[in-house]
Amino acid sequence: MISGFGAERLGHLTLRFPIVATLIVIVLTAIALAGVPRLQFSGDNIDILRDGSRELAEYDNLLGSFRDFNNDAIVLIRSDRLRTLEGFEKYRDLHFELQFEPAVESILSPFSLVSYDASVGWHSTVPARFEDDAAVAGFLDGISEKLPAFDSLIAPSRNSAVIVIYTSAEAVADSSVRDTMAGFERVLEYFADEDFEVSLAGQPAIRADLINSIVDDLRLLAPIAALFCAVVALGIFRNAVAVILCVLPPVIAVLWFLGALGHAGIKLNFLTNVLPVLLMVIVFADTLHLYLKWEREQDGGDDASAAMGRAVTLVGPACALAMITTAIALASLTLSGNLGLTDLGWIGAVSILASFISVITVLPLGVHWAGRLGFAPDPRSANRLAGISRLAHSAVRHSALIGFSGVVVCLIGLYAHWNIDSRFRLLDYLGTGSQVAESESYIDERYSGTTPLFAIIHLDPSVDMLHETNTDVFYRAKARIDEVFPSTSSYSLDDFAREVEKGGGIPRSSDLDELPEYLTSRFVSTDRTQVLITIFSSASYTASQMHAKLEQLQSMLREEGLSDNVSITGFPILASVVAPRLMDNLRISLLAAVFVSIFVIALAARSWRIGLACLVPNLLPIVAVEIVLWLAGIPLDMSITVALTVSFGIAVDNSIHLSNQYMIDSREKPADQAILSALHQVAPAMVSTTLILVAGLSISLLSTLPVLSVFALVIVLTLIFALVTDIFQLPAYLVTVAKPGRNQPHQG
Amino acid sequence: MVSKKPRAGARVLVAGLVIMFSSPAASAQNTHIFDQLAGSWSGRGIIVHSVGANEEAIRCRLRNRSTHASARKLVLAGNCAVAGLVLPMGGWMQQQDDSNRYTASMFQSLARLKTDSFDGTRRGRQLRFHYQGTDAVSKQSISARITIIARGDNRFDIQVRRTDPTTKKLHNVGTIEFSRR
Repeated sequence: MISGFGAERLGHLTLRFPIVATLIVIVLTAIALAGVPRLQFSGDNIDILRDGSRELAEYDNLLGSFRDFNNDAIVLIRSDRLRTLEGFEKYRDLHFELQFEPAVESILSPFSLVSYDASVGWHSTVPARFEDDAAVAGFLDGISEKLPAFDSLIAPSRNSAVIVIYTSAEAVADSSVRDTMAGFERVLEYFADEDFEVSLAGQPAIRADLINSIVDDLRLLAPIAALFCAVVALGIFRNAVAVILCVLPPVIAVLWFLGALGHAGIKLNFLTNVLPVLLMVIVFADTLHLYLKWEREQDGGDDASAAMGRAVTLVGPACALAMITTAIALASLTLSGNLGLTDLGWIGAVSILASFISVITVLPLGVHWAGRLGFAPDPRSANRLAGISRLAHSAVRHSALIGFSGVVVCLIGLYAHWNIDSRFRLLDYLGTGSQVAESESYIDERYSGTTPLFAIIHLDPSVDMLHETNTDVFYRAKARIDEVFPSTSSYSLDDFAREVEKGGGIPRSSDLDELPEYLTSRFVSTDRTQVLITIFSSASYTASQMHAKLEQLQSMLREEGLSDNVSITGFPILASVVAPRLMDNLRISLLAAVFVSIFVIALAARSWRIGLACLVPNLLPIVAVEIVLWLAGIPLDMSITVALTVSFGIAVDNSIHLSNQYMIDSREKPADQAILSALHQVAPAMVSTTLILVAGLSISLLSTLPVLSVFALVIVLTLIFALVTDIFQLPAYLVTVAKPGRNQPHQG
Repeated sequence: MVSKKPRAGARVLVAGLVIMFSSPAASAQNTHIFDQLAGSWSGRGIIVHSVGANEEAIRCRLRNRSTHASARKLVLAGNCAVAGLVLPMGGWMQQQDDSNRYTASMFQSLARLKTDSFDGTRRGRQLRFHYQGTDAVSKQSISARITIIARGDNRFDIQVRRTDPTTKKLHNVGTIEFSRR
């Protein structure tokens, strides 16, 4: 029998001291309930790419030295009336109205731009008033030539425009960002009409959107998933008490998890948001295995607690091992080196292991007290599903062929695993149907996105910022950048200097002091030792195209001897360099999860043959999904890879339970009979847990968060493949590896 | 692509608003002026901060509250904004018994003015106030004239004129038209 490393003893202790155990569970649950209202949420999304690399360090330097561009909200205006007096003045009024919002520090729009005139100094670029439509149109037609950067605020087609809102850090913190964005939305609603569409985008809006989705999922999806699982369970058991007994452990496990996060002050983010549903279904699955074993042990009319004691002895270790392998799968995410996934890995692994306590204590307690109240299970309920085991009989007879075909598919799948494309797009992580996501897409197309590329020029601090030494470095670097990104626009100190020269003045660094910091921070660091070139590159570049362009630029800068003076950073760098590296690490962590889990199964079974038998049947569901993705041309993204890793941890559970029962039965029967006997006993639990997991997770397909819906879809697919491989492949492998003693009882 | 710093004209205009609201508008006939000015107001207009300078658009939001506890008082709150700059407005003015004297404490930090006494007169539907003090930017002595023109219960205008520090002549800063929000 498989070892649970002694964890099942907790179940025996619970049954020995049911009153004390009940009180402990009640107290723990009460403490957890008190923590749930303290639960906090995080809208972090760029932080998912943090991995302590040089690229991230340069990005942090950018945010620290210039301005935290991630606090900029963007208002997108789409209107064909922008060239009219009425439409343009409405745009101006919206600018002013947003300026009055308390969360706004400053605003960048055409109405906050100034031009330089030697006689009067800086003055507004946009006239204070226009007489008629023709005057507006004339101004807009001529301004692009005078001030090219104007087009980064009003599209050249003049049918859309943006307003950049610089908010205070406090206003866009996780705790306040939703209120802040709601305030902006109220202003926008006042201005919106059929011909004047206004919407929010930018990082604060994305963060608010993510938090809203996380909260909605937690409030709606987790309870509905639990309810749906219960309904499916009711269809199988046809007994409400049985359903309640099986629902209690997962519900309590999720409460403990949320309460612990609340008390510990750990925020639920868009990655850890998958854990409540994950815990719900995993605990439900293990609870079912234990419950169905109890049902069989109770069949003789024995005392409920005594039967549960035997079930804990026989299935408890497998339940513990199933939790351990799932925890290993989650912990493997820490190999990604990414801070967000490392958090998910550790929090997930610990919470999965802790949730075993709920399985091994709450169900036995429920059974104990239900038995006291006269509840007796109906073992016929699950036996109805045992018929599926007969389908596996032929598979056992053709074990060699089945085994060989499994290996072939696995090899194809491993080829797909290493060759399938990967992708990282921030938009993929935003809620489907979200107005913010739609606005972000539009801005990506028309304005090269809300997250441009930045070149930081490090100046010689011993001389003036505009000293020849510094301007020489600056203009040589800018020339190379213009060569690599020729069709794009950029904005830098050069624009400031040209504006002053055009107005008849001489650019001096002291002129910068006359400008507000929120504007100078767009191109000069606060300590005046670094200047910034903002490159509005095309958002349509793929990761490899962007990577090639960056390589070309770095090479040219090296030739110019400028590599020490210039750092290139920005979100496109993170997406094209850091994200692919992350994806490669995730591919490795997935395989690591598989092999470590198989090793642990072999260790727990004290049989390398059992471990070996589990390898292909558990690799197959993963690679089958990857083959489907590969053939469909769907690139691997982070959600899919994380889901594949986690779904392996879940899918392996049925293998563990089947192997466990096989080991028990093979003490008295030859391998082929033992596996059929084990299938007959475990198949009902395997089918019912898969049905319930698929039902519960299907609810998550409705999530507006792609991370959760893709996650659920991949797990559902993997679980279905896993059920098929556990019933048709695993028996064949177990019989194959047992061949030396095939007709003799198993000695492991 | 650059923008601007707070300009003296904007400050002076706001200072003008301060002066306007803190003026002795109370005579026997118009003690209700605070009630008339109470409520939420939205203002828009054009200003020219100095002789020869370009016109600037300005918008204001005011929320005024009139109280009648021991003395008649008007508490002011809100902002005025020119492109790229928001100037907070806040403070109070109070009528001293029936003596046609008013005290006020408002916006000194914003307008960089150190004064709390104002004089004014009323002519028909117009209130005219005169301010004599120091310009916070140029540090020169200036005078300003604020005219409030009541246009029924739901509208009023503010006209601001001030001494231009360079030419020393009275310069028309601009007019803001207010309507109830």
